[in-house]
This record gives sequence, C-alpha cells and structure tokens, in this order.
Amino acid sequence: MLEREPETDRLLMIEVARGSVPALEILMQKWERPLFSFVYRYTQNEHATRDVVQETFVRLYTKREKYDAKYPLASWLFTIAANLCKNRARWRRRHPETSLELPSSDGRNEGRSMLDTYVAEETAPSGAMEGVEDLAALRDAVMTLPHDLRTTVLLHHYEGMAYKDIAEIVGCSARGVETRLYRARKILRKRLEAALRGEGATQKKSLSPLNSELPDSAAAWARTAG
Amino acid sequence: MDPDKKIDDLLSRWDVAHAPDPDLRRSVVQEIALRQRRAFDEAASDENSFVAWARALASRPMLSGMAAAVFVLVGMGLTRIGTHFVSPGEDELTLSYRLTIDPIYRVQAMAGASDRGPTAARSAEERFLVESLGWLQTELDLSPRQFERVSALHNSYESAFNSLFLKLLASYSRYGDLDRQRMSDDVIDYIAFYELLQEQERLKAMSSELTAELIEKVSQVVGPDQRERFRRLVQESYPSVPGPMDSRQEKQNA
Repeated sequence: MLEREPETDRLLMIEVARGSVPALEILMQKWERPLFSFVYRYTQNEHATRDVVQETFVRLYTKREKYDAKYPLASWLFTIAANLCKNRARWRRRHPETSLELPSSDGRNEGRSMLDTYVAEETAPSGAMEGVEDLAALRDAVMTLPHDLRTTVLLHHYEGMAYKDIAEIVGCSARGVETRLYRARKILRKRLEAALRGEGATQKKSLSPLNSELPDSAAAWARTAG
Repeated sequence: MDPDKKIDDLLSRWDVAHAPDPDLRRSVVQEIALRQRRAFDEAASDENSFVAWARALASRPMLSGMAAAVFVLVGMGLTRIGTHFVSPGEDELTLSYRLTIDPIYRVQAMAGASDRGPTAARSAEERFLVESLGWLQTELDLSPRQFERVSALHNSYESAFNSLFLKLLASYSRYGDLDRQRMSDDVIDYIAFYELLQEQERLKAMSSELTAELIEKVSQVVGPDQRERFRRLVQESYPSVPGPMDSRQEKQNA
C-alpha cells in the first residue's frame, strides 16, 4: 500500500509548477514503483510499462498547470497513467500487426514480457504447478476486463485507494466504484472457474459479446482459452 | 474454497518485481527538453520572427519556466532569455534570485503560495520565471568571464541548497503532522516538538550560513563597484551580510 503524504506531494507540486526539476525528481523517486506496479499489472508488458511510466512523469511536468491542489497528487498521477494505458490498448487494437511485445511460440505469453515469466516463477510455491496455473489464469482474466473495471480492481486491491479517489480516476461516483468492483469480481470469478475447469470452448463463447470492448491481449486470451 | 476468497488470494499472490529504471530521470528530462524546444520552434515558425517567439514565451509562462529548469540541469545558458519580465525595485533582489540562494525563503514562499491557493501560486510562479543569474548579470553588468565564475559558484551550492530545502520541507511536514495529532488526540509530545524545533533551527542556521557564504564568495569574484552594488541589493534581505559602507571601508583598507 502507498505511504500517503499528500501535503508533501502538494508542496512538491507547487515547486514543480514553478519549474523545479529537482522537485520532479523527488516525485519520480517516490511514485515510480507504485506507478510501475499498476501499469505493469494493467499492460502485463515491461517495455510498455516503462514507456507509460516515463510518459506519465513527462505529462506531470508539461501539464502541471492543470494540477488542482484540492485533490491528492496520487489521483492525478494514476489518472494520467490509466489514460495512457487505455490509449495504448486502443492503439494496439487498431494496429494489431505492430507489436513491440515479446511473442511466444504457443501464443500463451502474447503481450507478456520476460519479467512476467520470471515473476511468475519466483512467486509460485515450489512444486505447485497448480498455483502457477491459477495465477496465470488470473492474470489472463484481468487482461480481459474492460478498462474501467481493470483500473478499479488494480487501484483498489494493490494501491489501497479509497473509493472516492478511484472515482476521480475512473470518472464515476464512489457508488459506481463499488458497482465496478462487483462486476469485475463477477467476471474474474466466471473466467477463472472456466479456465481452471478447462472449458475453453464455453469460455470463448462467453467472451464473444465482450470482445468489442476488450483491451490488449483479451483476444489472445480468447484464442488461448480455445 | 470460496471463489471470492480464491480471487483475493490470487490477487494477493500476484507480485511485481520492480527494479528502478536507471534511465528514467534522464529520459524524462530529455523528453521534456525536446518537447520544450519543439514548442518554441513551432511558436517561432508561426510568425517567423524573434518577436513572435518572445511573445509566445511571454504568453506561456509554463514553457518559459521549464526552459529555466532545463537550463539549471544542462547548463544551456537559457538564463538570459527572460530578464525583461521582471521589474524589481532599483535595489531589490528578484524573488527568483532569493529562491536560488535561500532554502528558508523557498519554504516560506511555498507556504505563502499554498496558503493563497492555486491561483496565487500560479501568479507567484509567473514572477519566479526569470532566471536569477541572468538578472544578476544585468544588474552587475558582469563580463562573460565574471558571469562564468558567478554561475559556477551558484551551481556548486545548488545541490546543498536543494538538500537543505527538502530537509526543511520534510521537517515542516512532520511538524504539521504532530500538530494535527495534538489537535485530534489532545496529547502533546513535547520531546518530539522540541527535537523538531531544534532540527529546524539547525537547518535554518546552516542554510543562513551557506547563503551568506555564497554571497561573500560572489562578492569576491566581482569588481569593487559591482561588489558595492551587489551588497546593496542583498543587504535588505540579508542584513548580516556586509553592506555597501563596509564595502567602501574594505576598498579604503585595500
């Protein structure tokens, strides 16, 4: 969870607004890791993550006059990052033939990086292939969530953000965040169950109505599940 | 297992190994500088004249602010751009120069700006846009060689000033936390308050000493008339610094 120091962030942003690069560097040091974690779980690609994190800080600086000190800096930073993730996902859907991401022979790791593979291996309980598969199924299922559901789940679960802060980022009410979490969990549960039962055909069928709004490697997931 | 619990369990097990990106800072600053230059180029080519470029700079204070920041980082010499935008009193330091040489003043200015809200902060920001060294060069009519030495002196203190400023900032932030805790819990941690105040005094003393030291060093690398002018400029803000009279005395002694 993030250590919140909104007052320090706000003061540093006033410095950034004045053009201070040292203040920007402090914010980079503080926020690089949380942003990386969020963006990586969203995109599941290391190169894309580094690009998005870098661009987030560039925009933090170039758009600094738009920062409203009434809101925590975290909300603004994650709004920028989430929008960049969304734009990137849209771009990838429109340019499916152009991908900088690591391909794999079986298509299972499409949209994944070596870091992801490494992390999965490192975090899996030793000898527990089932655990690795569960985790892989979860990551695939997260990738199939539409943008606002995915963002909501990741910010809620990993960044420990309050509903009102997530609401600012996603652009809905606090009540809307609750609804989105419920919907996301329902989708995750359904897809995990299906994936772990190996019901590929059923899964593919159940995914199809959502395909129009699926970001990133959702299509790959559907193919894999099939 | 309960499906919801399983999802929570899996989400909790999904770790991300993060190694800090060693190129992040450089990449971000380069990208900012690149966009800055592009914005200037576009503004300049719109009307294809220096006047148009200057107008664009003046109408976009954020851009000129960034130009100043990039200068500080890469020493591109952009400081001279904005001297027209300040009109301090005849014997006054510009705000930007004080911000450059005085961490305590930076903290105070920030607190003042934040108390007055974002609009005031923006208007304050506009006043800080001018790079202080460019202003000093004009005020003291420094030769290129003198400007080089004065710039080098300021650069050598920059990191210490930044560090002190951030320590002061952190200390004030902790003080605010303690104060809020005192208000909500009705419990006063006297020792913590005392230590914090001691720390602030120490930081402020260190900061004042460094500022005085820099002023003295700058005085030593300029000519006698320039020194007198410089001391007149800084005297009002820093009374402990020898004034013009002392300067004349020194001249006589010499």
